[in-house]
Amino acid sequence: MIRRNLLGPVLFKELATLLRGSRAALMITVYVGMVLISARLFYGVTASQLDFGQPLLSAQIGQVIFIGVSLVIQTMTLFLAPATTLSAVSHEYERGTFELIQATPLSASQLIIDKLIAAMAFLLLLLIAAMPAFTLVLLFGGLMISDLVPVVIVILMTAVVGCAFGLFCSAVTRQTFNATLLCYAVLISLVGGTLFAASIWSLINGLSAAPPSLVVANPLSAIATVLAPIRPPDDSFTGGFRPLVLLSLLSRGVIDNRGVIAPTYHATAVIYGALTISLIWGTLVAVRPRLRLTREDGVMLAALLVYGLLAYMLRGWWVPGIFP
Amino acid sequence: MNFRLIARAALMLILLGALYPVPSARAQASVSLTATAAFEGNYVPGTWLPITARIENSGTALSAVLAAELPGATIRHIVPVELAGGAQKQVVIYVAMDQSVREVRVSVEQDGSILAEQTLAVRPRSDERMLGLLSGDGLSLSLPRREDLPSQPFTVVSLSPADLPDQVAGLSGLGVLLANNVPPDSLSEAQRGALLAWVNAGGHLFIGGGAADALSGWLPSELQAATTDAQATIDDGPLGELADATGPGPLSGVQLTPLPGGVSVGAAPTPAWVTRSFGQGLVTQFAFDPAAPAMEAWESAPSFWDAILQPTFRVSTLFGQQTNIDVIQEQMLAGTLTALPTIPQPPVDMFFLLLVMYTVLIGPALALFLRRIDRQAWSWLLVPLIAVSSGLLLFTLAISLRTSDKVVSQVSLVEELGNGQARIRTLIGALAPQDQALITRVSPGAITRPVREISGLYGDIGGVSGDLIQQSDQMTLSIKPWKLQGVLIEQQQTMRSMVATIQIGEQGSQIEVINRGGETLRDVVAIYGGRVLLLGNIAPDEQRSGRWAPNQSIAPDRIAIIGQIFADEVAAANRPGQAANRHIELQIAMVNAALYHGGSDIETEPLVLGWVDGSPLKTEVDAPRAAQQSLTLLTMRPEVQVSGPISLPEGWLIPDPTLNQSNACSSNNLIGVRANPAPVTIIMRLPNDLGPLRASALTLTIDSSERWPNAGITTEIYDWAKETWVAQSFDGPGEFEVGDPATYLSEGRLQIRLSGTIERAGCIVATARVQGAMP
Repeated sequence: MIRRNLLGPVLFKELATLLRGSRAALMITVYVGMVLISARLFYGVTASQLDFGQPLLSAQIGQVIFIGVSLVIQTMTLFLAPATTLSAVSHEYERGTFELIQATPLSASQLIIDKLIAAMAFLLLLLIAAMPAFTLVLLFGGLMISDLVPVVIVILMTAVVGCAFGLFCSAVTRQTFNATLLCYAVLISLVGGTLFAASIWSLINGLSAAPPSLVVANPLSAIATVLAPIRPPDDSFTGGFRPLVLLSLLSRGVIDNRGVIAPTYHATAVIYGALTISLIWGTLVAVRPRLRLTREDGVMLAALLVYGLLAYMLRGWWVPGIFP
Repeated sequence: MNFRLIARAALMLILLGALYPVPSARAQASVSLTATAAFEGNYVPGTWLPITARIENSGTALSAVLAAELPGATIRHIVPVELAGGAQKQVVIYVAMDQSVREVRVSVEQDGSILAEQTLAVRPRSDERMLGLLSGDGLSLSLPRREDLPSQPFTVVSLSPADLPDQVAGLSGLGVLLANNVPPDSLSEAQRGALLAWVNAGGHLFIGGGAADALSGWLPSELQAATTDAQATIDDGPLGELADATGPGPLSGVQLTPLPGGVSVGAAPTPAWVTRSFGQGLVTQFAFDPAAPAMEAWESAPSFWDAILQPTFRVSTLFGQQTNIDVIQEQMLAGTLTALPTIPQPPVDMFFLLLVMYTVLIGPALALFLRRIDRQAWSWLLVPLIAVSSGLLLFTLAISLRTSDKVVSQVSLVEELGNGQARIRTLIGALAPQDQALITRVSPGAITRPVREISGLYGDIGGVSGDLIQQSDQMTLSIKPWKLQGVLIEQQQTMRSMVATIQIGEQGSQIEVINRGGETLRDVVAIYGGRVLLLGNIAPDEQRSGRWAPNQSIAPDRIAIIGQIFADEVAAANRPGQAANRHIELQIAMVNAALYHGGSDIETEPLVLGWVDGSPLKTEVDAPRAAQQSLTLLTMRPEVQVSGPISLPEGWLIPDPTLNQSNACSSNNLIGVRANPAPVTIIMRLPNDLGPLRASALTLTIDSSERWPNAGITTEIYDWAKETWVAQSFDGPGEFEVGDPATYLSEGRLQIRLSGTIERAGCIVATARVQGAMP
């Protein structure tokens, strides 16, 4: 079914073997199951507001479920994406097959890109498998299809940079265990640390909202800024819906006191794009047997420079996400 | 000639013409507008102002709208106008004066073009006495000058019978209305109904006398305070007393005999005037002609009119002092709109089950199947295929099972006034997640305005914006997303949904209610003398009777009455773990609004309440897929028939809430009067209909909230016949029999005076048991 001659050998092998065994099916089941459980929990929490006499529109239920499920998918993607590539290079080293691969005509870039594409394909498969859960949102309304598009883009963007980072950790440490430690330590520091820094800044500055620059690199804050326009503007009708409280926490500083939402996810996208190119470059350097400049370095540098130029030209689009 | 070039040039010209539309023609010569504001442009902020517009069309037939708006307002009142060529029409448009402005813009418009417009000068009269003088031949009084009064100066508006608005909303700005020499049959049925509703809402109506037939043909019988008899000479003592000066001398007038509940001022049998309450308001009927030459020549007439021409009460509202309860009552009703109906949930569990089945299919089931046929790589194709096809199926199912995405709440208060007239106010609140334009059917002739912003039971509500149509059976409500917005619809109608009669006799009090409406009256309640009687549901044309128990507990005020009506429901809702019953809270709030009094919280007159589902104004919001709720509260005052000897237990003769208002207090669920400063006078009153009772036995019980002084108390009761205080051998506390009670209880009033060391007693409460007979 998979045409060998259309794909590279590594990609072919990855695609052929990735879904073998029960691990992939288990991951699909758990992934979709987690989305479903979270949707049911959010529905339960929201519907329980009826017991307190709060007026409730079905659109509010739909919006709260959408926000909650999107946050859950983003969180899972954040920690699952690196996991798909953490052992991609280190496993080859541990099995002693990496030198064999180096002896083949396969270039380092082809190896890395194929590994990356295979990981992304699997993540995309998970995402597609979870999409029917969003029909629950349509049951209640409150959203349009156009609201789903930026959410999917942010999730995919997180998946790409996550896979690249996992690949980088795998290449640098050459051991799966160390790669896992390094990767998740950095991720937890990124996610938790930026929120902690924003909270400290807020405490020091009279509980005012922290600047978006403190949370711009946080993928959860990025998706929070995409979701923030979707929530009902009048919180008096939503009371203390927990997903919305979480949303406020994650988008701290992004929404000013006039209700204007800074497009922080624009800045996050630009940063992640640069980071992806840099991480792939770093991975290419890490897998080389000898540290020397090659044509690939030139290509990556050129890509980075072009990217930088593009980012500079489009600064009006993303700079307000950091400095509103 | 290059015809192609010419054609292209012509096409360009046509396109240019289409891009630059011709500016709308303003004030076309064929339509003229002459608008006049009622009450000479004087208005009280927070009330309605009728504007009469005469439109003349000297052109072709037109279909236009008459619009009125205040500067900077977010709404316009509009009335559709159909006018044939060469015709003219007079239209009355009611404008909600919810801001203090000095001009109102009135225009005639067609398809967005202004055909004629006029700006009217208006004057807000906050904290002033708007006095209407209604007369068939012009009426002027010697009123005090504005500069001579420290507060509440008079703003006088002269009205002919034709000028009197035929909707109660039109009278809402008047605090006092003096009617004199009104020609018989000069008021229409609607105008008489408006008068009834206006007094019921708190207006004070003064009726000039002087002639025996002064009331015939125009005054509703419910507003009569006394019957008129032969011509008589009226003593000027009460006038001089009120003016604190020498009177104008004996006046020519008529003999007045107070009706039940009427309180006469002046020596019987020719009192100077009689005052009687109706609803929240008062009617004062003069025995003399207020425009008599003697009155005009009287030097102290300004002081007299200043003292007597007072509104029934003044309440503080967001617009300042008002002389009726409409603003507060409507805000209480608007607050109930925030108790929105619960939207029925879609079959969520079934949907979740389908999603669980999908999860099993796409996970273990597919994996097992592909493993069996050794084609695991097919997962790359089959997983997306199953996901997309399942997604499409679930998408279709979700769209078909979707429930309401907006809510509409509607509450109505119907006050049956007697004379077959009813005042109906319906409030509609709507909430939607997107911009909505909701078509609403209403009764033609109803007037509408936005609900005023208020925080209600469960959140905030504001008013709609845009055009609000009058004199049409359909209007469009523009609702903004995620904002509960409402509109008030008001009208007077001929209506008689129930007939109720209270019979008081030797066996006690009994009520009989007959449902004359087309739908079941639910949870009917009768209230009289602070006692609540639950009558249950009454089907159409069904008659239901009930008797008050002799020792039934008294509910001294509005809150206690509500507590008795909803005792069972509130107890059920207060059980541990039980969520608040929103429907009951809504009903409690509506009853609270219906029982609200401007003068006090005490309900002394009989009242019957009942619930129905739809509004008599036939309001219907056309909102597909909206969760709707509608609740209507009917109120009416039953007729009271008293016959033979009667025995009234405690609770009937109670301290008068309006006359003791300034130093009222309460103790042990009883209303009383503060003992400080001494001497303290307690004015007790029977309900209006029991006013003529001739007491044969009277037992008074007097107690205090603090320790009663053990010496130095003098107790006196006012003897109406001798016009003097008579000392009683009682120094309290406790009960004592009053000898010869007939002289002390007159026209349903009893006055007790306590002097001496009574100041230490705190709050003095008094109750009484009365036996007697009606004449």
